Formats: sequence, C-alpha cells, structure tokens
Amino acid sequence: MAIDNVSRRDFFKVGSIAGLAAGVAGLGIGSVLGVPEEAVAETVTVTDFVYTCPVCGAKAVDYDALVKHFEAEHPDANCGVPQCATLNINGNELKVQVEPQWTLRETLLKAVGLSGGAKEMCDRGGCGSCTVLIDGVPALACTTLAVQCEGKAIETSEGIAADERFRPLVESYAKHDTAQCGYCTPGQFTVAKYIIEKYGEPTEEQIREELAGNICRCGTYSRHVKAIQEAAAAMKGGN
Amino acid sequence: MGAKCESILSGVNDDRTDFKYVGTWDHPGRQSWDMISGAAKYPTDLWMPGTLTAMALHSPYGHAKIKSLDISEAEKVEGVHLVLTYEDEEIASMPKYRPSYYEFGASPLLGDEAEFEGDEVGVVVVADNEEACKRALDAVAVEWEALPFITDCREAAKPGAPILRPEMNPDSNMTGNTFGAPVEWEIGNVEQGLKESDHVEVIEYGRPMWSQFRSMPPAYFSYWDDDPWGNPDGEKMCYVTNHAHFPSNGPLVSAYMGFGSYADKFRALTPYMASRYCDFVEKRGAQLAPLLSKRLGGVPVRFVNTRRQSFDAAVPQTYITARIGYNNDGTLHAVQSKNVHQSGARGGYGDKTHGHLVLPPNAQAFKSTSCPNIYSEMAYYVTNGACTTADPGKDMWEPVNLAFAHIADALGMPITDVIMKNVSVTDPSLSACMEAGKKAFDWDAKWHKAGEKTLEDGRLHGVAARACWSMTWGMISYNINLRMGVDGKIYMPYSEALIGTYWPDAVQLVIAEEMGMKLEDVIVYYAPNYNNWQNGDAADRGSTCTWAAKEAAVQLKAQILATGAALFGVTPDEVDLVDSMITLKADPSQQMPITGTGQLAVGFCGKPEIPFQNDVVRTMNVDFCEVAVDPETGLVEVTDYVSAHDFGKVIRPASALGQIEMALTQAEGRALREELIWDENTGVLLNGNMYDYKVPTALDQPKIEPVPVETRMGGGAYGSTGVAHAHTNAGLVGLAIQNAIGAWVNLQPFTPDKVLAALASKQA
Repeated sequence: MAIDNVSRRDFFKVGSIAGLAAGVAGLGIGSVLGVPEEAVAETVTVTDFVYTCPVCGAKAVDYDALVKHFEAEHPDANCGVPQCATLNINGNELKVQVEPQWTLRETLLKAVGLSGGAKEMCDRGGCGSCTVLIDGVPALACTTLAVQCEGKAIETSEGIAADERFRPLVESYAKHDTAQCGYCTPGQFTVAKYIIEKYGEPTEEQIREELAGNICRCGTYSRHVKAIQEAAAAMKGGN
Repeated sequence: MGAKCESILSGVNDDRTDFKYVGTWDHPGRQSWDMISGAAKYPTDLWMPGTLTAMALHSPYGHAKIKSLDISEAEKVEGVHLVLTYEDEEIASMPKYRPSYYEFGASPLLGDEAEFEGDEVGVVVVADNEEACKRALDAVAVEWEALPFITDCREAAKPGAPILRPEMNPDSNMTGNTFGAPVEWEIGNVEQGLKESDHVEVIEYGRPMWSQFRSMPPAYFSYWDDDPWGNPDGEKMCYVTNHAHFPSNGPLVSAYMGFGSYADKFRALTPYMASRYCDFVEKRGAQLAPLLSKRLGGVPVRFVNTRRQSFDAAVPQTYITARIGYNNDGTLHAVQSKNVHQSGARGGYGDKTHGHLVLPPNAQAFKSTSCPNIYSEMAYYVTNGACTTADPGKDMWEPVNLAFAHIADALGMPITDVIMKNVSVTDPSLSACMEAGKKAFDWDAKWHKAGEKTLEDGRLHGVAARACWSMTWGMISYNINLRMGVDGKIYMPYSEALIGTYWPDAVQLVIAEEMGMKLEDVIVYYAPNYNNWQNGDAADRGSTCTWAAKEAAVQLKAQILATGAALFGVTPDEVDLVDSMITLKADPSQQMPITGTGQLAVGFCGKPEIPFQNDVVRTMNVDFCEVAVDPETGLVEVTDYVSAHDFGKVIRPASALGQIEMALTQAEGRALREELIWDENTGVLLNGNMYDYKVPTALDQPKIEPVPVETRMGGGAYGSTGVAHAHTNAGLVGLAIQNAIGAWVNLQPFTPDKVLAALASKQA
C-alpha cells in the first residue's frame, strides 16, 4: 500500500469534494492560510524518528546509529543494547523504540506520530475509539502491547483513509456527516473497513452488530450504516 | 386551537424563495476528512518530543479537608520533575473566579478542601509519564479530615441537614441564585384556579444526575515558546489547548487571566474539543497546564484526567411536585409547582443560570400554554455531587408535557389533542408539526387508551407525543467578518472550538447563496487567534449565526458589484455576481473574475430581532414515541421515534436531520439507562466507567424518522431556527411507558426495576 506523499488537496480533487482541506499542520495550529497548497498528510507519512540512548539520552536519527553509539560509548552498560520492535504500520516496516509496557495506542502517539487515529476515550477496552486493525481484524490499541504486534500488519484510520481502494468509504463517510464531534469516528471508520472486507455488502444488522463496541456519545450510528452500505455498493461496482 | 403568530423576518433577503445551495445535500463538512481519517488533532492527541505529563490528586472522600500534606517522598519518585501543593505561592495567587467555571462561590485554583469524590485537590505532579505521576501521587502522605457529605438535593433541603458551604450560606444548603430563599412567581391566582378546576391532580417528576459523558477525557496541552510575531518585551508566547464551547475561548481566557496577562500572549491549539453538549465545566488543567509548563522552562506539559476522573460533569438532579387543575374539555386551568434543584459543589452552571439562560425543568414553559393561573417555587441546594452543568435538552417542557399526559389519561383523550388545546400559539408551526408528525408516525392508528394494547409477543404497547420549542438563539449578537482574498475567494474566519454541529458549513452555504459565489470559493476557516467572540459554535446558536452571515454577505456583495461596475463602465444595478464572476446583466456572456477588483471586506455584528424563545412559541416541534414493555422483565424497547421539527428553513439538510437523530439517541439513553449512581454511605461514584455507565450503542439506537417542517418563522437566515436542544430529554419515553402499562413511572431513567414496581403498584 503506497501511502507516501499523499496530498490531501489531491485527495479532495480526485474525490470531487470541494474546498481546501482544513489546516491541521503539526500540532493542529494554523488556518487554511498557513497551510501550503500541497499540504502533505504528515500524519500518514512517518518520517521523523528519533532513537534515544537509555544511558545518556543522546539522540540518533536511525536505529543502527543508536546501536553504534551505545556500543562505542557505553560498552559496560548493564542494560544491554537498546531494543526496537519492528512494527508494520500501514504497510511500512518501522523499527520503533518502545518501552515493553507501552500499549500500541501509546506507541502510535509518542513514538510513531500517528496520534489522531487511535483515540483514547476509556483506556480500558470499553469504547472502541482506539480501534486499529491487526492482521485485518479490529483490535483495541489501548489494551494491546506494542511488542505483541511484531510481525503483524497494523492498519490505522490514517492508512485506510489514504488507501485508494477505500476512497469511496471516506467519501461516503464525509457525505453522510458520520462525524459529529468526530472523536470516535476514526475508530468507527476503521471497523467500517473491516465490515466491508468481511461482508462485501453488509446488512444494517451486520453493521450495527460489528459497530456495537464503538461508543459514540453524539449518536451518529445510523449515519455509519448509510455510509458503509453506500461505500460497499460503490466498491463492489469497481469503485 | 391557540393563536397564530405572524412572520417577523427582519433581515435582507430573508423572504428569498430561490435557492441554489441552501437546503441542498451533498456538501461534505470542511473538517470531515480530517475527523474521519484521524488527521484532526484533539487535545488528547497532542504530543511533542519531551512532553511531560501532569496529574492532580483526586479526593477519595465525598467531602474532605486536607489536614496535612507531605510531598517529600513524591519528589523522590523516579521521573518526577515537579510537585506543587495548594500552598505554592503562584498557585495560591491565581484568581478565585474563573470565567469558564461559572462558580457561584469563589474557590481556589487548587485548594485544601475537596467538595466531592474525585475533586482535584491539594497537589499537582509533573513527571515523565502518567505512571510516574500516579506513583508520585501515591507517595504523597495526606492526612484527611472527612467532612459530612450529601449527594441528593432532597436530603440537602431537609431541616437539620449538614451545612456544606457555610461561607455561601450559613443557614441552609440553599445556594445559587436562589441564595437563601426560593424564587417564587405567580401568574393569576393559583389557589382560586385550583378551586375552579373540574379536576385536580398531583404530578411528580424526578431526574437524577446524568452525565453528558464527554467522549474525550479532559486533557490540556501547553508550552511556552518565542513569539513568532516578534518579541519586543521579551515575554514568551503561551500555547494552550482551548476546548470549551461557552463562553468561547473559556480556557484560553482562564489561562491569561490567571497570569495577569493578555490575549495576545496566548495562542490556542486545536479547533476540536469532542462531544461536550452544554458541558461547561472546565477542569483546573486549563490554568494549571500553562502554569506548570512555565515553571519548568516552557517544556510541553500534558495535563490529563483518566476516564474515571472525567465523570465529573453532570446534569443536576431536579425534583418537581406540582398540583394541576384542569377542566373536562382538557384545558389546563391552574399549575402550582415546587421544584428542588441541585447545584454542584463547585463549578456548577446550575448555580448561575436561574432565570435566564438554562432553566431547569420548572414551571417556566407553562407560560407558553393558555393556563391562566401558574405558581412556581424553585430552590437550588448545594450537594457533594460532581460539578453540575446545563441540560443539553429543553427540559422546561418536561413538566408541561407530563401535565398534558395526565390530563389526556384522565379524560381518555389523545395527548395530541391536549397539546393543541393548551399551547397558546398553535399556528403556523405547532399545527404543521402536529399534522406532519401524526401522519409519519401513523398516530391515529397507533394511539389507544392507557394499558389497552398487548402485542403478539406478550409485550405491552404504548405511544405518546410531546411538544417543545425549536429554539432561536436571538439573545446573542453574532460577529461576522468577510473579506475578499487576492485569490478571488471569500474568507470568513472563526475562532471557536468545534463541537461538531457543522455550523461553519451551514454559514458557507448562506454566504455563497447571497453573494452569488461558487460554493468552493467561500472559505469558512478556523483561525485560532482570531479572538472574535462570537460566531456560531453550538447547534442552535450556529443556526442563528447564519442570519448575521447573510447580512454580511449582502454588504460585501454590494461592495464588489460597485467596484466591478466601475470596471465595466456601468452602474452597480447593471451587474450581478454569478458563479463567482461579475456578470453584465444585459449580456451574461460578459463576465470578469472578482480577482484583482480590490481588497474589499466587511464586518457585521448583530442579531435578528427575534428574542430568545422562553415565552414565544414561534417555531415548535412534536416528537412521537412508541414503546414495547415486557411485563415479565420490565424491559422497555423504543420501537419508533418520529420527530416533526419546524426548522423554519432547512439550511444544510444533512446536519439538520442528523441533529434530530443524534439528539433522540441521547434521549433514549437518558430514558432507559443513564444515571450517575453515588454510594450513599461513602459519597463515592459507583459507575464512573464505560461498562457501568451505559451510553447507547449502535444496537441500542432506535428507529428514528426526522420529519422536516418549514414555516420560515424562526430567527436565523430565511426564518431558520435551531434543532438539537429540543430533543434530548427523556420524558417522552416515560409517557409512552405509562400508555403501555397504565401506571406512572415518576423517576428517570425508566429502568426495569421501576417499571416492574409501577406495574406491581397498579395491580395492588
């Protein structure tokens, strides 16, 4: 899945949705005036990794450099060579320096920079807001350790939204106002991909059953049913 | 039948009938892609390298005072950077009144007295991460003095109850604006009216504490950095999250007020705040995050609350007992209402709203009926429940519809008839809603007298209807700035955090409509530091904001046409704007783009003439509900909701109808499941988690059919009006249950135990 350099502006053009993408550069500061015409969806493309020496705190921009530094500067350190988990996130193989107790949600936020997809609502596996797909199946990032995910394919809402094949799903989600406050929407959208892949053309009952673990305080559920069914029909027709 | 109200359309082009964009579908929201994909960053999503985490100590007691604190062990915990107590000089110097708290009584930013279980008190910690914060807070040695607590306002009202806030009222727990005495008012002569009535009945209404349940646990992110616009005075710029919807920019204002600084030194982060429907309770993190960051040299600080700790924003308890007098023809003749209302221990919107903005369900809405004799007594009582905030619904109509239901039941007539007999103004809005709603719901076929219909599966069938205002927020002046960019587009900035009601998108449709611009050439955009209180923000306010946007659009269009006409060498009357092009009316093939015609802009601040509709029945709605009640288990299923809502004029159908679906889903949750439960022995909240506090899921959502009605009688653009506030109340489901089982369930939520108890009492 090619997700590099996806331009949100291009996305909107191809998707025939009028208007500029709202500017949410960096930390979300900025107006449309402050965003470049061809704003890269930086939340989709992971480019900025920093690896930290556990002994002296020195920073390195790639893992091999960290190991080289560690072995040269701290040959007697008793904590061992820093370890990384190799995570496959949205099709990219990433070496991520994680603490063993870090959850996948925490890792996506703090280490990977994909901070907006797997959202924290309950942090106890009770709401579905942090849903990602692991090997194609919905999983809760708040109760999954990052180190458990090695060798597995992790998909987040950012990756799904950038996937050409699921453009009809994004379009139908936008068309039907599935996002009210928007907080739980990435989690629901992630499950929506799973539903379409599982059922092809799902019934309302199947959709509601599968979405039952995703809490939406705004009560947008009926909108998701419409959007998923419309997208599923469009995708079955070859997009 | 009641009276007819006349149209009061007060703005330019309000009577427009030809629409190109307004009322049309398929206009995805400007923020939709970001919200769906996860590109939208909410305060909990913010993270920068080097970010530290902050947490506060939370009270384990329902009401307690800190006798002593020892933080020495906490400071030794690995990863801890800072531990501050309420005795810290800077914390103690912070203002005791904060604009976003709406506190009645002053309270310190961080004090030594916890007013409720879970209250932030005594100590704040900054550490590498949440785990280190928790370890440090666990290491704080606290000596508590447990104080008497009360979590039920009826208990707080009793003579001899412990006085909880003697500094506010040393004599009783009556606080808030009622302050020592209940608020009373009377229209006509109620005692005489009751004597004159053919029937007199007592009605009871009770609502527990109900959590709006903010989907995002409160999180505040702040750091200090150089001022990108220059730094002549050497002061750093503070960046801070700013998620509150009323008053606009509340946390930002709190932050700079706290430092004795000004708006130009504070910059807002993120336009998103997640669901906070009339939840005005701001956490202390709004001020503490920038303070803690500053103390640590400006490093990013993320002040967090766990899900458990974020169950402290709740709609207060209200209990009403009323005597109603009515006549054999179904007309209400007298209402004598007494209301006991809870105010929060601290930070309660309920403290402040008596008499104006957000009225609890007292007798106020009876003024919208033809009843000639009304008496109301209302009193607020402080408790040790969590902070209280406003009801996102229109709860003033709950007791009115309950009274109508009692009349209908006693006289054996449909409640729909009672509504039409009693609401003072029925035309054109109420009549239109009633007719459209009854038809969509198939009311005439479904209605029956109470307890008279059993379904094939053995469940009891019930239906009910209720009326309510559709609100126009005419008490706010809306501040619109429009300018023509050098790129030929029309820009409108707004600065308020979004709650998800798509009001900027509705405003975009109106501006494009009025100006003759292509929709994509109108950009309504978030400009976080355009501190222009105020635009739209919440649902009903957003719809009224369209009126001011329309006025501004017409003015800017006039400027553009005047400039363009000069370039064409004609008068302004001879040109028009068509699809973003200045077009010669006499020869539409002659067009010129607006790009380069000038640098034009307008500012418009104003409001429609229509008042805030407390006493005006200008635009109405009628909801219909059908339930099936299992007499064996007491389980209630809502099988059909129809909502006939007078939108005045639908501006953006997707969000307009969506508001109804979503509000009724919330109403279903309130009606059947949602209630904050406090342990009466300890004052501890028992169900502050996602498993025990039951928000509706996709499987719980009932069938909902919105029926749009358009009378053009509202105060927004083209006579439009608000939507969501009207529908989130739970009472209608209770009326349908009564129609099913033939007995009243007086307390919300209508859980199986209460339904079974009502059935048992009927059989007894």
